[in-house]
Amino acid sequence: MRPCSNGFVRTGSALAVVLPGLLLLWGCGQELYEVEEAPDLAEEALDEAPPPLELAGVPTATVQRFTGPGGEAFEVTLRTPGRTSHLHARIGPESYPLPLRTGQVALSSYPCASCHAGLTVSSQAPREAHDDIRPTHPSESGHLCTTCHVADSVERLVLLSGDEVALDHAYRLCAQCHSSETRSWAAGVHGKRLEGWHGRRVVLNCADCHDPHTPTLEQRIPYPGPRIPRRAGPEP
Amino acid sequence: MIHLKAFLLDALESATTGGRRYHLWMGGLTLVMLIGAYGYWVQLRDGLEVTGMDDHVSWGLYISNFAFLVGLAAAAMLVVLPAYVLKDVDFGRAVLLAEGVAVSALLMCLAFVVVDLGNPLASWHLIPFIGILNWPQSLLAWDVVVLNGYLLINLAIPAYLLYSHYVGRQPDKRKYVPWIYVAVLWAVSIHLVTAFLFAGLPARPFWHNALLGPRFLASAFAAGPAFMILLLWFIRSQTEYPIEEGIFSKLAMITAVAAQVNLVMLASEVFTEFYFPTHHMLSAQYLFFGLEGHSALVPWIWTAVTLNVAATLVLTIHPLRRNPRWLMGACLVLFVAIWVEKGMGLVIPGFIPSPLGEIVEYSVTWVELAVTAGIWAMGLFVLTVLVRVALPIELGRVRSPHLERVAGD
Amino acid sequence: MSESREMTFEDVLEYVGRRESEAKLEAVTTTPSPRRPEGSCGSGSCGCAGEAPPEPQGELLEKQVDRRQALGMLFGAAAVTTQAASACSPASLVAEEEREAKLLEWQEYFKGNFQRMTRDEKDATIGRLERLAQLRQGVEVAIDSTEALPGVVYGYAFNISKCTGFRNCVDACIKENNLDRRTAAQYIRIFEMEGGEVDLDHGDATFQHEVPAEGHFYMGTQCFQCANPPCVEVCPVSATWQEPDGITVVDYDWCIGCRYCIAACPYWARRFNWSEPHVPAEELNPNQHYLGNRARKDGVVEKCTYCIQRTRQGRLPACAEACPTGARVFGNLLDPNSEIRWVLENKQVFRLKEELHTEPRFWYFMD
Repeated sequence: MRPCSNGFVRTGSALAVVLPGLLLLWGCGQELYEVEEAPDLAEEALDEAPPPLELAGVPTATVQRFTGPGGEAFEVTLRTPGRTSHLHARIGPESYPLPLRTGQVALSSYPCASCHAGLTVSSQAPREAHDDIRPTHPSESGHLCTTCHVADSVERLVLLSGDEVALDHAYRLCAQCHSSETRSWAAGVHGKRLEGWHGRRVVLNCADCHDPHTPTLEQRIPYPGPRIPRRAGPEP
Repeated sequence: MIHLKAFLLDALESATTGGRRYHLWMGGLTLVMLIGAYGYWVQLRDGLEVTGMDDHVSWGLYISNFAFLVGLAAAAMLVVLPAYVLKDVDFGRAVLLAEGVAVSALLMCLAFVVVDLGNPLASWHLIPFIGILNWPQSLLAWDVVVLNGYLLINLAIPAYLLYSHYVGRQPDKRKYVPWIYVAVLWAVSIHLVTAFLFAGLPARPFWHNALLGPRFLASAFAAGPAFMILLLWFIRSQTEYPIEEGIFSKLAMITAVAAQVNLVMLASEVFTEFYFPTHHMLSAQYLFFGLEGHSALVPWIWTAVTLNVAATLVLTIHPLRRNPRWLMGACLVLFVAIWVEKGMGLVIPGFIPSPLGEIVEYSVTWVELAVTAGIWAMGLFVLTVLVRVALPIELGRVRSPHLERVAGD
Repeated sequence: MSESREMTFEDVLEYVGRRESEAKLEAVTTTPSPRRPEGSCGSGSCGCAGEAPPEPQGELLEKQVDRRQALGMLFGAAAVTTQAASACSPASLVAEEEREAKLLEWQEYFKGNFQRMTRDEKDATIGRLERLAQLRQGVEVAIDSTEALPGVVYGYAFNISKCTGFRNCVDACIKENNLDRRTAAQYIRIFEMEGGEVDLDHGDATFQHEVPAEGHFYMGTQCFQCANPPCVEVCPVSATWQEPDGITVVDYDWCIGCRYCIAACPYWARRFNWSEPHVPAEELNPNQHYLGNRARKDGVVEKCTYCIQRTRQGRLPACAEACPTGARVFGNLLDPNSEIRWVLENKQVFRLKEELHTEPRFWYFMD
């Protein structure tokens, strides 16, 4: 059983739909390069517990509108969640020739449109690449993709007020309904902080843990519990 | 100096000579000790894993015996108390034997603590200045101090008395009587300290009550004299050592009163635990009635309580108490009952359920049984040797060969 | 206050790191040369006969030693020299390593309580332990002895409305802290509880079904690093104590194994090594702390140290880092801008068995 990585795989695959086009490409490029170097990396990653939360090299952005404890500014990470992203779920670990324009764009801040320029988000049910999305969230009926996504841009989200925010700051979209969670998140009590307990505060974005379309964590079999009484067990 | 050498040689001779039954007895004890030593060797080799203890029940048979034997050691002073403090001559003859019991019981206590240690090679860490003795914070440090101090006193007084008699001198009262007063107070303290060792733990509601100390004393003052009655009776029937009849009735009276007090305390504990059951009574419930299907101790405690009540009844009824047969039987039964009640019935339920509410039962293993039997055999061995050495000197049969005149006083 | 402000956390880390690396260097020079290739001792000629016995004696004797150590080294040296004569054979390298290990173990036996060691003594014992790990298990470990950081007291908060019982924390803890695999030692217990009461007696820690289960919540326990720890009071040899940053630690080599602390802990946080603990070499975490996850031995007590080897380097405890639900909040109680302080100020919190006045530094809260 690999209880933890499933969540990442799933979250990843969902994100592939949320951030169509270039995000997919970006993740793919990252993954493919790594896959080429170490073909069974995906397998390993699946076997591993969550990857260590280290800050090195992860792009970040300063959080807007919210401050941490003591009114201090903090940052949100712009990494794609997990090393086995949506791409593996969709196309498998094998090499896939995608025209990733590395070196041309800084692969941060989800610059989807640098490749998928001109793509739009349909207001209808997702098609083609994103037909696996089964949105259950928000639960009330009547919500369309364009309730949250800007119709003519794959990189932007729209708030109820009509204001638009970049994908980097998707937490602002979540905050519209989940205000107390967002308050806790800003305080560092909901979600997770990268690296240690001290120093520069960089936290994970909402979609890093929650699939925006089905945000509840799935049930799973836990890691082994205690042996009561604690005695030598059978040799592994 | 020549006296000392002769004293030691004579002591060795006294201890090693005897009839066939004596040698059989000592040989048997030695065999049990060897079995115990083998058990301990297995325990050293494989770790305490070979015992029935675990993270939940982290003290077992060893510490149970320790708690009981501290009581036995303390109760020996009950005999000394009237002899010296109240100047009751009846007890005079029994005093040396009582101190022998105290010494043997203390050696057993120390042995039980040592075999319970996970890292006995590090026990030098307890020695002040070389190691660190966390005194006065740790009650275990207190126990180390008072037990060793009590052992020294109880070795020194009889050694001085015996040696004086051996060399034909009248012991100097100014030299030893103050120590007897100290020893009497000390006896109470060793048992209270041992009770506090348990009672001072808020983590374990079963022990964390003010009655634990007094109950320890009461049960000790019942079991100790009961053992003394059995021992004195045995010595009187086997040797010419003059033991007055009166001492038995007096000791029996002490035993009876202590056993009654012990029962009253047990009853009041049971009342507070069960009248309005709280979380804190779960251990008591486990002990007396079983908890969530776990009931390993239930037969033990009810046997102990039944025996306890029966023995106390016998001791309370005058005609029965005065009948030696009934008295001996009652003393034996009482001794065993208190051993079970205070050992298995006090230490182990304190760990069940665990502070987090988990229930893990305890059952002894052969290693623990072997080591425990070995230590008891060692205690009896030491007691036998001490008695064997003391009696001839007290009877005036063994005197230093370097004396000018033959002792005739 | 102003003084501790001047010294930033990074300064401290750098300072400590420098001292550590210096110490390591020193330790390396005082330990004998590492394992040589098999057979370097000539099979025909007796090339190794004149080889000096392991160096540490000479090096250590130059340092200040107390009586106890001197005694240990004297006996150890004697043991070595008596065996040195028979050192030349094809197997002599193995024998030599065995002798070196024996000597190191002998010296270890006479060392003092970590609290009372001088810096030199600490470095010496760490050097010996690292070398022994190499000789006995063939593993390279780095044993850290970073002291408590100034102005830091650790606190922990556990969100019982977030925990889902996945036990990622348990798994991470086992791996991080080199817990005995043979008997499946675990510092953390996660209790599955039915709604309606907070009563561990009715909780179940052995659940092994899909979680989170409907109608249940999950509550984790571990060592709460009490501000008023009963376990420390009762230790007869002061083998366990509270560090200035609030972590209660055990000196595994000073513990005599009486288990009084286990009886004294109201939270059942301590574990005993009922046998020689076993961790496969490939699973061993080599980043260790003397008071943390270094190798324990048979017959001594151990406990959670909030991952002292990590937290004193500014990292999160393994359990907090591994938690996939964000139920675990860890930080510096003395920093008013820390997450843990935010929890204490903005959430309704409670602690287990507060009536015992143990003052745990571990709070539970709900969303």
